[in-house]
Amino acid sequence: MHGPKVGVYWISDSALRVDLGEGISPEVRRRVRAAYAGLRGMSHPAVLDITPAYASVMITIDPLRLGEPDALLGLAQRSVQESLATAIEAAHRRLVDVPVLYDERVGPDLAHIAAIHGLSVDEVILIHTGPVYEVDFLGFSPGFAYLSGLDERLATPRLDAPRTRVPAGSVAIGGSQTGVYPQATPGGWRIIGRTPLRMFDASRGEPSLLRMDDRVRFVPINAARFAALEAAG
Amino acid sequence: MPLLRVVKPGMLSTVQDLGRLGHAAIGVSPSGACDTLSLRVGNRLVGNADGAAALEMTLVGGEFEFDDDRNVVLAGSECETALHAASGVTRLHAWTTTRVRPGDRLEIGPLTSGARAYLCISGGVATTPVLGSRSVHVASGLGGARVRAGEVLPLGLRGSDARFLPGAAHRLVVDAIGRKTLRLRLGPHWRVLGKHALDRLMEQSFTVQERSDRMGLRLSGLLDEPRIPKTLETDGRMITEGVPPGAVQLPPGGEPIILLADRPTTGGYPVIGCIAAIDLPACGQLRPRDTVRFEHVDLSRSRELLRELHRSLDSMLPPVEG
Repeated sequence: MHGPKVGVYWISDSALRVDLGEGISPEVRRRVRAAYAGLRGMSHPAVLDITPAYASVMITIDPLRLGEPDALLGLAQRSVQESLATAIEAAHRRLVDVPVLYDERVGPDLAHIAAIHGLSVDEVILIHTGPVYEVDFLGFSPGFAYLSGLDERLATPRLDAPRTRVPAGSVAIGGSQTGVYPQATPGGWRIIGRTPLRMFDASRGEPSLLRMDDRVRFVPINAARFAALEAAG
Repeated sequence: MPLLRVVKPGMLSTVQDLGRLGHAAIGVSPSGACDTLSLRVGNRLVGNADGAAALEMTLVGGEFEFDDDRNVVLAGSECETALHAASGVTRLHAWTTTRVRPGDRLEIGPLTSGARAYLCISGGVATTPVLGSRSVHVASGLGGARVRAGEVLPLGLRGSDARFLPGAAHRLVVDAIGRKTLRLRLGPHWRVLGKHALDRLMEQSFTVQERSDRMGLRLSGLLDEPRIPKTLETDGRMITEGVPPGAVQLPPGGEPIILLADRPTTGGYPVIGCIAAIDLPACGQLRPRDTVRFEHVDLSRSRELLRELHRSLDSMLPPVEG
């Protein structure tokens, strides 16, 4: 049984890339998820890490343990083609609720976003909490999930100059994406609220709250609930 | 428990090993030593396995006190070092394995030939590993933070005997980490460069800016405003992809960035090329105001160079077992 042809090629002496399609679309994302699952099952002494993204998966390797390069290339190609051909539907995908306090104090860009889109703050909250988002992949920093499904009425350009420090748990909009900053890092997205949940905790069995394939809902909470959840976390 | 006492922390000193691997899918950067060659050689000299954790010091070293007998070595940049012992003060050089005794104090001053030096100690630094590694990712705080004055670091059980670095191996390593011509393999997005910019990439000198850190080296020397094809674009930016080791990114503004150990796992700037693995340690040694050039290398040559280097090194100074 043949799957679609995939592009698997060396991008350097230390990394292979698997291209699963062009652009961003649910079909390409589905193929990335399948390819990632297949590649994780691969066994080769040189493989160090596997990084999924929108339309590609990268395999980082140790060139000192590579042996014959074509052997790994072939192995990767077969793993991906088998996993694409199998077309297992991810029947069990988690639905994760992320509680968010939406107010000016923790969401300094909330009023700005409302204003530029001609909406009230309440409407912004309603629209942001409406969809069930999908986690495309994680990157940028530990536990940072790229979510798709943002209503285009809220799409807002990034800041010209990023803030030097965005508080951990900040919920933000950048372009047509939304996400949560797990750590206090510099950030260029627009901040509209904050979650009391710890999105990343290295001491947990599963450090990251979110993983690829999850579906996510944002649930509005008030300041009292925020304080209670923060204390419990 | 044997401890390393931090008297002075230096400019930026962090515990690093060969990196935190296998967690890129949850956004965890590899981190680890920016100059892995120096770390490996330093560890071999004090009888440690290649991946033992050491203290990576940046530009200015620190001052450290020992409370038991250890073999130590400074691997990487040459640095002005004094060992204060009961018998007096001795000047030390990089790459020379030295015995320290309880109460001895190592004072490491400015690094003179490169950006980083590794204080490798027999037994290794034995902080608690996080997600399989002792490496510190400075930006997110994963794995710890920069060391502070007054801090104490646990040390592991001593392993094998200390060794000295043969002259030929010393030359091999110093040459490898001191390179200023970086071998680069074009791709995957070199086409965002116009024809003239592509020529300039291989002809021009670039200067390392002050604003460089463990995440990357910012180079000045305008290359080109990247032209991102529509098929690779979203929101006016390139579609996010995994960032390979040695990636040379071209952000808006046209000044390239060479990514280092603390690079994010994914990124949206076009990667115009990747530095050959053999030259990554040299990247970890580049200092602000250093000038570099790029030289084209193909995949098979790049692999061959790395294999030759390690074959030579291993024959003169083999890794310690286990």
